[in-house]
Amino acid sequence: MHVRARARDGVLGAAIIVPSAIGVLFIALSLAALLVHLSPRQLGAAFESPIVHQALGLSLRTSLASTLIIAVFGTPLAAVLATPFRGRGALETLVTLPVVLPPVVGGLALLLAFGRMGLLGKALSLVGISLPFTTAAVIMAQVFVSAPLYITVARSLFAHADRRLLEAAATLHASRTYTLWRVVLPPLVPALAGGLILAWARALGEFGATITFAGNLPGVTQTMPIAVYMAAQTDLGSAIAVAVALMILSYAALVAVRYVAGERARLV
Amino acid sequence: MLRAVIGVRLGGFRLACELEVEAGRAVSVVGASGAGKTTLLRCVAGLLRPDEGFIAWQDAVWFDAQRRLHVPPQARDCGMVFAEYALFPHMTALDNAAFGLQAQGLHASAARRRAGEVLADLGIEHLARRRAGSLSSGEQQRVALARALVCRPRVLLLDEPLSAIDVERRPPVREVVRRAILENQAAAVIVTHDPIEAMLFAETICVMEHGQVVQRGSPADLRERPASAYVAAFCGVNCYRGIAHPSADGISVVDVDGASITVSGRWSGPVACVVDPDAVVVSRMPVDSSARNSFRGTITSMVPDGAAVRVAIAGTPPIVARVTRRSADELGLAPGVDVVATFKATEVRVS
Repeated sequence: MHVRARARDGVLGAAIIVPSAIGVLFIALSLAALLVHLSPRQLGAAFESPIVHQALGLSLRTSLASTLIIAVFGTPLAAVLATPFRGRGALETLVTLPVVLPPVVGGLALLLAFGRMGLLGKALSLVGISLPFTTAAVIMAQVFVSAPLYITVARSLFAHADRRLLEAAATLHASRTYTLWRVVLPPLVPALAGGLILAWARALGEFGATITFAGNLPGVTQTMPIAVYMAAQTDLGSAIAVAVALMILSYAALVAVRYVAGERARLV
Repeated sequence: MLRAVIGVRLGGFRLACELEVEAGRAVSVVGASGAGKTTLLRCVAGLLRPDEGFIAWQDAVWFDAQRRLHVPPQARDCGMVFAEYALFPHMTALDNAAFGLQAQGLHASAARRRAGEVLADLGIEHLARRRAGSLSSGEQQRVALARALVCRPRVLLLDEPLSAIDVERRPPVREVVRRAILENQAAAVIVTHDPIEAMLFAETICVMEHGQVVQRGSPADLRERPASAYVAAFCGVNCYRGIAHPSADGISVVDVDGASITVSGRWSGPVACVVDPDAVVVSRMPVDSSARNSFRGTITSMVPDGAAVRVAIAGTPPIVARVTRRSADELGLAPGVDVVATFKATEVRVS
């Protein structure tokens, strides 16, 4: 019996370990390829090149701005989506749609809505506001693509709030808003921050919607991913350097997610 | 007065009961788990909307099925202590207790001051700065009581309010609750599965079975004239409230209405004495024995209980004994027969 049980354990163990190992190798090998092609000197040079500086600065500023917007608008929306009402399912599908949509399609949609000839764009141009190919457009593209990630996380957190605590608050004469503010939200702050960091990382890597709606103007709309793409057309070496810089940032973001979410970041 | 006529269907379960509690009074609702006690409280609090009936406190109607009226829990002058406490785990004990007043717009410092007083009344002011999630269940239960009492609700709903508190620490907590009921002229409903707790809290007891109130009355009514074997088994515990005086040789005497009960241990002040019916010996004549407590009385009812019979004896004090059917037959016990009930001082549980 023992021998057979152990043999079965071995088979099941292999069925778990082998696919996991292949998965890890696939990711690690691709990322290692970036590092193998790069000398530390090149990386240093890349960080000093003005294009990278500009792109890095723009990426950080725009992605942080989008994250802030996502937090301010996404949190109440997630709270609404967590309470049952008619048409909630349809609304939730609509809000999460940008996750499955190719980003380029998202960029096109933004262009048709806010572009010079767009639905709202025409009205905006009458008051002298033109959004496409501005830094604001970069932020809009990032919000469009990455907000659903945060809203999904936040909605699920709100939906799983302890019903008994909500009931207790109700018997203590607390309004629903007051309850949300003092009972539901505070314990969720770490997990919500984790969701925000995830959205921020997605905004940092945003490419398709940005280049479609905001274009590729160095210093104005050329973010890190676009800079990598452009560099790869002409000079693969500097493209790799920028790519590695982006990878380091993304890695730091994920470590931050794990740390904020309460799990010790053992991979630092 | 709190008046509630409630009909509610939950899956296959049906609750149909009436409840009336006067201001300044408490009613205990007892019954096995699943009898519908908590459901009743949830309806009164407004957390559950009944299918039929009405609920009103004084002139304020909280629920009326015919008028499709359902006042939300926030707008009912009603406080509830949940069986599972439901404290806000990330807040301190003090912030938990102050929550209700702050939610109603009172300034944080004033709310905390009042909350601190109630924590002190319950003997837990030393826990004020501790996070609720880090407290033991007995401590959490007292914080939950404080949180409800701070708002001075006119209707007080308590679901197993002392279940997690050590027996010897219950009397002062019970006193705080009783004082709050009197001071606020509140109507209190205490749900418990512990008949002794029910008797200690309230003058009127409702026994619930399968979603219905099967009997209501004073503890003595239920003991002496139980409506069913279930009620007899449930409420047939002898429980006396009185004032204890320590006496020599490690015993104390408890004065209850017109009689003195001898108990072991040194006790003083208000206490409750509980005597298990199985510990009571019934005889036709006074017997010479080592037992310290012996009382005369007349049998009022005899209810079969398995292989035994519950014998209710009216006297001072009234006593219920549980004897085997054979002994009952041999002694010729029947309603109207005068007997003597005897039990040892060490068989009296004091709390």
